[in-house]
Amino acid sequence: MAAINRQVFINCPLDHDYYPLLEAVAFAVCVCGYTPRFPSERVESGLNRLSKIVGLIDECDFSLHDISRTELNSNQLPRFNMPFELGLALGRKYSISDGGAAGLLILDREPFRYHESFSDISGCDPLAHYDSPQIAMHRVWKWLVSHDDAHPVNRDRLVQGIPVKLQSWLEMFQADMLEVRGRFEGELDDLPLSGLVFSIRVWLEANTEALS
Amino acid sequence: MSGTGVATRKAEEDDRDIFVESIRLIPPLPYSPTRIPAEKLRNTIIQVVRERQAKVREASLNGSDQ
Repeated sequence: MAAINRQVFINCPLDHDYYPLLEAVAFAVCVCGYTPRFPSERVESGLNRLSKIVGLIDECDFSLHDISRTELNSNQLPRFNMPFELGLALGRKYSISDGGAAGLLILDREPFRYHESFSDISGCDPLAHYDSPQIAMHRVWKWLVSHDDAHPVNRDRLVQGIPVKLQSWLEMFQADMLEVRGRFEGELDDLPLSGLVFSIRVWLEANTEALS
Repeated sequence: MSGTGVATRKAEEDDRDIFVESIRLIPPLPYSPTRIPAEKLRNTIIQVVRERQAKVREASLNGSDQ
């Protein structure tokens, strides 16, 4: 079997309210040694949004789908994007003979909520994050570690220590970024997702360099 | 170094081991962090991390002296 490419397609809402969950998920993906990928990461006018999404799903061996935000908007219409992109990823998975993506994780706000509106995914074991960044982070961590035979240093130590460490690392990262933002005097107030991922990676590097 | 200082150092080294592995495994970013001054951001993050870690070490050493 070919080596996994350690890229994770992130299919989740991109609104302000969801940002704490998004930041936590992106952080966990990076700490696990993977790269989060988002449809908005590249400015490319030559491709429409759907082409970018399909291209990303194809490029990434892993995909993560949060279907917790499908509520009705002010026009009484649900948000179709996340379930639609999940459908694209599942379609790819089932249409490729070797099973397509190496790993696919579905997150929702509450357990079994999908039974009422999205029963086709019964059996796919969506996991609940209860709108908690900490729980979402742990779900992502356990998911990636469970797929990763090549994972870090001392797997037992990581798995046992992580519930506490992930949260404290994220808090450290957030505190450091608050300080960084302050030094940029407003320049970073609207940090794009590509900037968030870049910052997490640099922060991880900085923590290794500073201790060397 | 006192017990507190040793424990802090050990925890830092554990974290570093994990971060080193993470960085080694993460594939290169397939895109650039658009719209932000990347080099300036990188340098500032590294500076802030170093300052924080220096403070933590100093506090753990001071605490252990008491």
